[in-house]
Parts: sequence; C-alpha cells; structure tokens
Amino acid sequence: MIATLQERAAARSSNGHLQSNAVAPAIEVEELTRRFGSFVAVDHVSFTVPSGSIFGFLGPNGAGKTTALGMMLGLIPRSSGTARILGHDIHTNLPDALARTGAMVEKPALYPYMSGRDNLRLWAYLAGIDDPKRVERALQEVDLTARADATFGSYSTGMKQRLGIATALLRDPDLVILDEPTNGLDPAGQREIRALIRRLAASGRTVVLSSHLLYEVQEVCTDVAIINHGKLITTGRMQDVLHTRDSIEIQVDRPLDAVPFIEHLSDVEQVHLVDDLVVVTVDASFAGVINRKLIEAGFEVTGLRPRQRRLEDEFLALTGLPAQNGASDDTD
Amino acid sequence: MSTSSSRSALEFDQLTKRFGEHVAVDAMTFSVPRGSIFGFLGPNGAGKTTTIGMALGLIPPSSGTARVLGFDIRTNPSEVLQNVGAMVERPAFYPYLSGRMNLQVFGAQAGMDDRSRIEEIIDLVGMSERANAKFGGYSTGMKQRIGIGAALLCDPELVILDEPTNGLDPAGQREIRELVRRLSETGHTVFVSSHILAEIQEVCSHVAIINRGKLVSTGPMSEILAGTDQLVIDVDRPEDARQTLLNIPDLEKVVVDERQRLIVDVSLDRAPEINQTLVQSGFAVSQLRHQEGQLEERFLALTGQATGSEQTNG
Amino acid sequence: MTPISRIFIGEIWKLLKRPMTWTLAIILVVLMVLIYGTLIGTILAPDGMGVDVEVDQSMGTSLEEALILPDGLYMGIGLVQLMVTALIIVLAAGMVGSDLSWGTIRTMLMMGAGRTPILIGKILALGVLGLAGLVIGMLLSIIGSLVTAVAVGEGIQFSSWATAGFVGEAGVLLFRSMIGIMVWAAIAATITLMSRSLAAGLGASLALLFLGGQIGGLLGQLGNIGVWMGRALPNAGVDALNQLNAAIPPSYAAGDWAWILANIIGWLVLLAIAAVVTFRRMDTLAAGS
Repeated sequence: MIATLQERAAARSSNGHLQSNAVAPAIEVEELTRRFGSFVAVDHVSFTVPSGSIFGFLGPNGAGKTTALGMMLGLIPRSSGTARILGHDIHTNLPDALARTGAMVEKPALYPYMSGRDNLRLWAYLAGIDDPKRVERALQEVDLTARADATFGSYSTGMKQRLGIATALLRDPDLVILDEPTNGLDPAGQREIRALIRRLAASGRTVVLSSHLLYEVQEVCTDVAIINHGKLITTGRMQDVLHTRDSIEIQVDRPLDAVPFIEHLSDVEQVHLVDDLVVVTVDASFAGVINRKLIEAGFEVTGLRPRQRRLEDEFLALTGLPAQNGASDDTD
Repeated sequence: MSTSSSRSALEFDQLTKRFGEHVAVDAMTFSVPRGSIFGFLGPNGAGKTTTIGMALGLIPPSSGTARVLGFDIRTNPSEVLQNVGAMVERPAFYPYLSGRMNLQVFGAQAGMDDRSRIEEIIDLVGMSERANAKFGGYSTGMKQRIGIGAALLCDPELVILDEPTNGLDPAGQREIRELVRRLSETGHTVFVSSHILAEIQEVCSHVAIINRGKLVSTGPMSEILAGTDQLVIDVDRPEDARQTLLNIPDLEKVVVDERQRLIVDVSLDRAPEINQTLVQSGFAVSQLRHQEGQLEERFLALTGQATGSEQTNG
Repeated sequence: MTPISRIFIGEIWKLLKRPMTWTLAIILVVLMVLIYGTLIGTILAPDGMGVDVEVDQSMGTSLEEALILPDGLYMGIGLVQLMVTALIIVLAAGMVGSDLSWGTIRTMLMMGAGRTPILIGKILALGVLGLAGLVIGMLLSIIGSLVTAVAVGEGIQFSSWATAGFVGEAGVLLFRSMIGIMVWAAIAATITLMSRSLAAGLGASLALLFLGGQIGGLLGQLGNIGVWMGRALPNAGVDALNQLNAAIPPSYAAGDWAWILANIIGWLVLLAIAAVVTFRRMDTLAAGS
C-alpha cells in the first residue's frame, strides 16, 4: 500500500537510496495514451519510477516525452490510461499528487516583466509558502541571488533555466521533474545542475531528468526509460539497459593465452577476443576473482571493467539509427 | 578557395576589445591551424561571441588584429568574407520553401548562381534525400544542416559554427558531429564553439580555452588533456588500499572519491603494477579502469571553476 | 489547493507589476485630459466656433451646461465607461493570452491552483482594476467639470452638486458601469482562452464593443425578428443598461428589464461555462508553444 509521508521520511533518513519495494514508486504510469485526432502522440506507455532514483526519461524530438510528462502532471488531458504520482491517482486526486511534486516541463515558464525574486515570491505565495527564507534559499540553491532583482526577461538562457529549476524546488518536493535542465548552461553551470540533482537524490528525493545530453544522463541517472514514436522502447536500471552486469572486459598482456585460461574458470560462460580485449560473459561480480586468478597465474592485468556501452549508442540503436563507426562496441 | 600561403586559417594577435572600462577581450593571441577542427571554449560571458564578432568584422577591435588566412578584415574585407562561412545564430529560412530552394534563394542573394555548387553543398551536408521537402517540416538537426549549408555557399575555407548542437536531440547532435568531420575531410577548417565538452573532446583536434576575455590555454587536444589521465579502481576496502598504494614510491595522488572508488593520478603503464600490489596484499580488485583525461575537468580547472567535488564516471 | 483569495491577490500583484497596466492607466489619464481640454477649448473659443453647439438637439442643452456639474457627471461617466471598457478588454486579453503564451499557466497549475479558481481569481482581479479605472476616470471627469465651471466664470457652486444625492447617483452610475465592465472582461477573457490567442481575443472583443451597436441597429430594421436578434447580441444588455447613465435616461418597462437581465445573466453564464469547459480540457503545454 501507499506509504505515508512520515514513513517515507523515516525511510529516507535511514537509507539514502530507497529500495523500490520499501515504499510506493514515485511514479507509476499505466497504459497512458494521448491521441490528437488519428495521431497517437503517446501510445499505451507504462513504466515505473522507483522512489529515490534518478530517472532518465529519453526520446528523440517528437517522440512524445513532453506530452507524456504533461499528462503525468495533469497539464494535458489524457485519452486513456492512468498515472499515479507519489501514490495518488492524478485523475482523482491531482492536488495531492502535485503537492509534493516540483516540475519544469518544456521550458522555464515565468513572468518576463518580473524580477527573479518577485517571480519566486509570487509562486511561493500561490503555493501557500509564507516564509521569505524559502525564496532566498531557492535562489541560493541555483546561485541566482546576485541577479535576483533583474527581470526574468533580461536573463540569459542559462539563468532562465536556473530560475525555472528554483521554481520547481520551491515547495521542497519529494519528486522533481526536470525537462532539459542544462539547456543553455555553460560547463560549470551544467556541472552545478548535475551536482544539485545528485544532492536531491542523496536526500531521498526522486528526480526525473529528461535530456538530450546522453553522456550526462548516463553519468547521473540510476534508471532510464526510452520512448520513440510515442511507444516505450525500454526501461529499467541503467546498468541493465547498458548490459554492464553480464559481461566484463579485461586488458591483459597476453590475451591469446588468457582466453583459454579464463575459459577454464568456473561460472564463466563464454570468452572471446575483441581486438586485444578479452570479453568474458560472466556475472560482473566475479571480476575480482578472475583478476586475482590472472595475477596469480602471472598475467599482467592492465584493465578490468564491466562491459561498458555508451548510452548514446544504445539510444540511437533503439530509436532506429545505426551506431557510430568505431565509437561503439558490438552487442554479441 | 584561397591561394594564401598562411599556415593559419585564423590568427589573433593581441586582439583586444574594450567597452568603456570593461575589457571584453584582453590581448587575445592564438592561431587556428589550417585543416583543424578547432574547439573554442569558455564560460558564459568569457568573450567568445565578441572574439568571433571581431574575426568576422562585425565588431571593430580596440587594438590588435584578427587575420583570416593571412588577411586582415580591416584592410582586405572581401578576401576575408570570401573565405569565411559562419553560422552564428539559429538560421532563419522560409518554412514553406524546400531546403534546396532556400539555399538557391540565399545563394542568389549572395550573388552565387552556380546550381551545381548548391547540389554539392546539399550532398556535403547530407540532405540529398530530403532537399525537396519543405524547410518547415525538417527536424531541428536538418534545419541546422541547411544552416551550415548556407554558410558554405561562398565556398569558404574556414567555417565558424557557434553552438551548432544546442537544443538538438541525440540523433541531431550526431548528424552535426558527422558533418563537422566531413567538412574537415573535405579540406575545410572548422572553428566551433560549444558548451557540450564531451562533444568537443570527441570531435576537435585543437582547442582554445578563454576566461574573462583572456586566453587560458590553447593547443592540440592531446596536449591539453596530457597529464590528466587517471586510474579508477573499485576495491573492497578502499581506505586500506589507499594506504597500501601510498607505500609505492613516486605514487603521489591517491584519493577515495564520494563513491568509494580509488582514484590514482598515474599513466596507464603503471596499471599492472598497481593491480598486482593490491591483489598480492589481499584486496579484491573488481574494476581497474583507465580514465582518459576529461576535457570537462581540464576546462573547469583552467577557468577556475572546479569547485564541485563531482567525479565523472566513464 | 490554492485558495481563490491567494489567486486573486496574486493576479492583482501581477497586474500592478506589469508595465502594460500602467501604460493603460496613463492612456486613460491622457485621453481624459485631452478630451476635457478640447471641450473647454471649444466653449472658450470665439463666437461662431462652437459655443452654441447643442449636444442634444431635442433637449436644447448646450455643451456648457452638459459639461458643468451636476449634469457633467453623466457626460463624464459616458466617456469614462467606454474608455475603461476598452482598456479592460486589453487587460483581460493580455492577462489570459500571456499566461498561455508564456506557459505561466502551467506554473500556476503546478503550484496547486485549480483551473476554475484561476478563472475566478482573474475575473475578480479584472473587476477590481475596472472599478479603480472607473473611479479614477470619474474623479478626472468631475475635475474637468469643475475646471469648466471656473473657466466659463460660473465658479464652483458647491451647493448645486456637493450633496448626498449626488454621491448616491455617482455610486449608482459606477455600479451600472461595473456590470458592463465585467461582461466585457468575461467576453475578452473567454474568447482569448478559447482561441488561445491574445490577438483574436482582443480583436473580436473590441470589434464587438465598437460595432455591436451598429449591428443591433441594422438588425432592428429587419422588423420584429431583427429586433429580438439584436437584443440577443452580447453587447445589447449592457448597452441598454448604460443608457440609463444619461442625464435624462430612458424608462424601461418590465418587459424591457426582462430581456436586459436575461441577456446579461445569460451571456455571463454562457461565457463562464465556455471558459471553464475550455480550460478544463485544455492542453496547457501546446498552448504555450
């Protein structure tokens, strides 16, 4: 059943990263569909965002990401299907679903003629927050205090983006949904936002991140869903989507000798050479054992890592574009 | 293309721009080798746009010179403009005309009526199959490629692209990266600014980093990244393992990061030795990974913004 | 859920922060000064240039008499009512249209404001601003009337107008004008909401404001059916109501009151339903892009 806020708060303080079975998922989407005439923008999409995860929500332009996010937040009427946010059905209880949710969807939507601070004061007032410190804290969180009195319209893209994020954080939400948060930010700004996302997750919050910068998603996200043409293509833990758990690759001084040696170890399913890399199909938790056995047998092990695929290659393969020459590993 | 014998496609010499008291660009000196893919990086407000503006003759410098293929924009504007194609802002085209028609219209405006040249450009930017579709129906990546195509109309040797992948989806980003490589292969020098450092690292051969109007670092990518290599090690008892490694002579920087991984600043050839030491001391090493220098780390360190303790994962 | 009171105060705050509101206020003041200046100039001009212009031929009232208090009050409210209505239409379309195009309507929804409360809060805020505009305009018109009295040498004859009856009459005029303002605000806001376009809301409402009377008149020439069609126009009820604001008002029979009230209440209900239904089914993401 649905955990109460107190239970979740307790779970949060005892365990930074919540197990998905400990509390209700942050978001449960079931068969969510949106038709515009004969065009199906979102087509029976179902996925679950585990509580405490950093969830990458990905898809090419026009895949239906924003429409799906909009339906989940009650900003767009659905054609069919359901969504539950923090345990509340958005169609029967939208106010409770949104009460602990902060979101920036599509772009930072704020008043251009008002200062950054006045915008936040207005939103805080509408949200029933009367403590002025909350506004100042939100400004500090995104490093905008120095420019808080300039109008939103005069901000650079990056500053607008940061104020939009501050607006999403204003109600101290348990669930934060950010659509392209690093758009227009310079590298330091991008890193600040990534650090902010990690901080939010470390304090037990759930973050849904939609981004086109896949190296960024790969770096921060624990879970991922990819949609294309309105349909869910894949979803799951990042490491499962990237298949990093079922094989390892080893860089060793005598690869031709290493292959038969490793083949004889227990639990190893398959060993083969890719260029000079020894690729071993085995549960990644055996990496330490294999490494020790190799060293004991006199091999020089230079590198040892779970088989890594780039999210970008996986994404482009799943959404129908060929992987880039030379930059990608083959799938076996 | 130019017959100039200059070895640099673009050369800045003590280039300076003052706006009143504020020095936007301060004695900028660097050169862009011909044939390179040159990444031009800096935080917001570092002076990138002003520098590009001076190179294109859009902003008069306060002092110093900017030379394009050896020509000074102030004394030889026509030579400069013949040799430079730039896409500085998101291109504005007629949405109801096809990509091909748009290029023909822009070509005619630029006094360029050679139809075969337009076909060449369409081919180069990889738009042959969609050239007859309306511009308004293109994806953002396709629009951007037509925009770059327009920059190529006058057959420039130097192509300047400002944030060409900003806002593009992954397929669009890749389309532009591949186009940049193709431009380089067809003899163009590409000067590109971007905030997406992973992309710059992947595609650029050279780089210049500026901060607060000043050049901070420039050179081939490999030199910029030199000395930033790290070994990332997953081990069962990271703190004890760190002590063990500190006993190895001339191994100075060993840290445990926030994810309880050992980070060792060392070149790749020391990896077997470190691995062996750890295993023989009874540690279980489950990951041993060479992390190539990250341009982002380098960039943030050089521009004095490396305040975060974030470690990148590969 | 955000209470309506907070949405209302938020809307007032936004309007006061918005430069457009102050531009419109300045336009109101400048127009009033220009109009009264021109009228006084006309009166003071040498003979043959307008002193004897009769405002209402049938009554034989001179411009001078019509401008000076107490009758000046009726002339003033006629001017002010039209101007403030036009300005409120601009504000209403601007308020709804920009929330849609900036996407700020989404941020309001995300902060816990309900859709119907947002509409109520907005219309209330427009009402308050409309009332403020009417009061300011009326005060300016009274000042204009007093200046006229001084200029023509009659002086400020307090006894002839500074009475409780005068204040009461002013209140009644304001109340009647407010009904019209609210109807027009609702028309502009609803058209803007339904068309998702500030320009459409503004254009259609202003066209109706300035042409509605003529259309009604043309329809009236079609005989009985035409008259009733004219009476069904959204402007007909409030136009009839505003005619009561004249120095010598028409007197309406019970049958007249019936269609006037039916028109006003009917249109308000219709507009409210249209606005609520449209907003509830609205794709607020598409509206912004």
